Amino acid sequence: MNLTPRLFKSYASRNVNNPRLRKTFRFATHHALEKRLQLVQEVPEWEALRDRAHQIKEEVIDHLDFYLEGLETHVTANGGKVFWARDGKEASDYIVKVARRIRAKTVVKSKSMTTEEIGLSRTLEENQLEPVETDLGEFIIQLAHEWPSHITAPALHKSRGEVGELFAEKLGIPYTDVPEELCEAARKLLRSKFLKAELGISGVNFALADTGTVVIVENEGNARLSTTMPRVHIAVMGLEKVIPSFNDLPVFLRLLARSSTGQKQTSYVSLISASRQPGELDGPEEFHLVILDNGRTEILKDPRMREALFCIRCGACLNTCPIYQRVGGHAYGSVYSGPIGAVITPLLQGVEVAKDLPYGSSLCGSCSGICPVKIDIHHMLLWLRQQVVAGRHTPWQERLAMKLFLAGMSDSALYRLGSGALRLAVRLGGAQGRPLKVPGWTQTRDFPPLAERSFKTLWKELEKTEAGRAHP
Amino acid sequence: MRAGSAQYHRTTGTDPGIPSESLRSLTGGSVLRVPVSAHQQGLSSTWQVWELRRHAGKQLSLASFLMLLRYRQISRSKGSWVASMKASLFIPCLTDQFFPHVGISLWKILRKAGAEVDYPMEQTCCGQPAFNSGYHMEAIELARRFLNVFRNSEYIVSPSGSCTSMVKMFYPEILDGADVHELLHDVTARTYEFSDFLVNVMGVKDLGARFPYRVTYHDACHLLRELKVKEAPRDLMRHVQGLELVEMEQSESCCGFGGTFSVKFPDISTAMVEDKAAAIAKTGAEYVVANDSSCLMQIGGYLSRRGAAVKPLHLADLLAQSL
Repeated sequence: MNLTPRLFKSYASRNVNNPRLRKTFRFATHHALEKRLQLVQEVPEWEALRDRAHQIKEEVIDHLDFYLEGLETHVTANGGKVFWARDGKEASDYIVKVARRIRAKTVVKSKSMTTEEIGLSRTLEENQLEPVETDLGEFIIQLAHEWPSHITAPALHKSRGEVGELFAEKLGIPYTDVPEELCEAARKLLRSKFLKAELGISGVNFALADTGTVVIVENEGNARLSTTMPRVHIAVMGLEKVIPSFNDLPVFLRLLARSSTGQKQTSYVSLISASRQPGELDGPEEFHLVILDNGRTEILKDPRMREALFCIRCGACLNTCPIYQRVGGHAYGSVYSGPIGAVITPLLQGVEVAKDLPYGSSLCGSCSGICPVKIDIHHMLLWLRQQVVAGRHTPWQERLAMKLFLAGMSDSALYRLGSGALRLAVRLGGAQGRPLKVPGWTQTRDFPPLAERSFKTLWKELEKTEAGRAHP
Repeated sequence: MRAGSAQYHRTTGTDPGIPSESLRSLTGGSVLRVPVSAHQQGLSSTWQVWELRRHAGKQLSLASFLMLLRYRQISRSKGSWVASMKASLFIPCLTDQFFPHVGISLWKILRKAGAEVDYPMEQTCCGQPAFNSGYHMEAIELARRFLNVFRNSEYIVSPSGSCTSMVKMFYPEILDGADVHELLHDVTARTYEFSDFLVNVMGVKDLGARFPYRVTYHDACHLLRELKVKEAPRDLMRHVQGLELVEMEQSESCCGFGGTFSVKFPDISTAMVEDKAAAIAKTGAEYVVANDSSCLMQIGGYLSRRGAAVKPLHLADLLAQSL
């Protein structure tokens, strides 16, 4: 599989017919949803929290310049360095430059979708650095040279047997599928990397404009190690990750952990405000914050799409999506999968590249219903479809069909004529009362027969008999 | 806002307002349903009624609350008033061509409930197929057409949650900023899915129907998540004599229809209905009921291909069985 959303249709079709993969995703997503539901029910103010989070995000995204500058001011005042990256290349180049300056060889990374988005590990490798993913899921997919199949659980697609085989092959350990043993093997290897690494790279869950603090949530402790052990820490954030204040943080922390992993709180919440201060014993000597645009300001320009920047990457919409549950994350051909991926990917990469993604939804709306920050995901998919059509990326046959459809529906006489002609054709073809054949439908489902008489016809007859009754 | 963070909140935000759901619960779910005839009692136009509904949805002022209570009393006290309600059938194109019996059933039900029923012959399609495929220009034209066809209707009632939400939820999105502002809000406010209309507008739950079978109910996505109608169909079924309602697992998960999605992504669509069919089978129901012919076409099409005994049935058809 290649990392391109162009192939969504064929990937999806392949994955949906893979029973093992379907079982894996079904189990994992349902499990996550159950845990989430249980915890959400314990919070009577859940809906108010969602509304509040939406409000805060709206305020931030509408005044991003203000909050980002606040963030920069405070990070700088704390002794950190802020780098504004227009795109992935600028961000990667900056990180490589820092790594070269400090003569780093080993780079430990904690889980970060933003660095996945810009393919940072590949760039580091190309520059003779050794990037090591330290989140267990990310570690697995790094060994397998794959990309994440879920925003919060990157190796969701792998069974423990597959992980066992992978570890046996790549790490040279005897095969086992016992999770504890696999975990132990990864831990052993990662410990040595933590001790060796000169540079630590992390993502950012939230960046607080009023204190210059970056907040990282995780469950394995690897992010804390990655950000404290090496001499230099670089945090990479999409520019939408800023929130106004420390006081807003609890709203998001409560929403995020429950929505993503079904926890009240993740095992670790790190708040990093600066590098090591005089008199302190530990912490990195340097702290850098890379603030990445990479197409986000383009999204900002479109008021209808702006909400895409509200996303806190919890993955709940993936879990609840009936499409994602059946095709898995890799089908989307992008590091961002599921409903929010179907919104973000076309916005970041262009609708022409990802034109099938917005159509890969039954518009059931369960994504919007679960989103902790109330992003109207499925309505945005509809507007993206409009962009696909406006860009003339749909087949000409479909455009023609729509013109005919409009003509037929714009005039009720024409509509009735068409409806009569259709019935005549069916009768002449000897298919009366028999299920119609519809390509794409009839392979797996019966299509109903055309009614002998349409409602319009029935209604006219009804009116006659009713009138007859009224005036005998 | 809060002390200490003023500097970083540019504006003074407010605390979470009262969500509209809580407003509904305050008055037993029907607070936002203001009968049009109530205009004569004080509100001069449907436009104002709509405005009232809009504001009421956002925040509850004492005045609007009292007004709403008043209308509620009017609709309760005047039994004869209900009888004068006029409902125009909005029969979606799919129903017209493939399931006309659903339209006839709806006519019977509404008449039985005491409404005067008509059917504007000029109607065709609400435009949803075009809209859902991204053809907004085409959808806008059909939306304008719809508004004109139904402009004189007192109530517009449809046997489809999906087509109703096209009118109620999506017309305002695509006609945003268009020159039909007033007509738009006037018409969309008077458009209802039929179970919602019966229970929450007419206040009718018992139609005297009898249906001695075990049924299970599928929550159609648009009806449930766009229009937030979950209880009305169940209320109606609970009042059907002999009917045993067995809830299926995950009644809220999509059947996989999704309009053109069902033919653009047939594999996924089928995988979805496969699970739906399994959930239905588990209930041991003889009928699977829904309020949307499109869902029933998908579920029924799969069931019949598999030779399953359980039959798809539109709620309107169920309720009209003994009428």
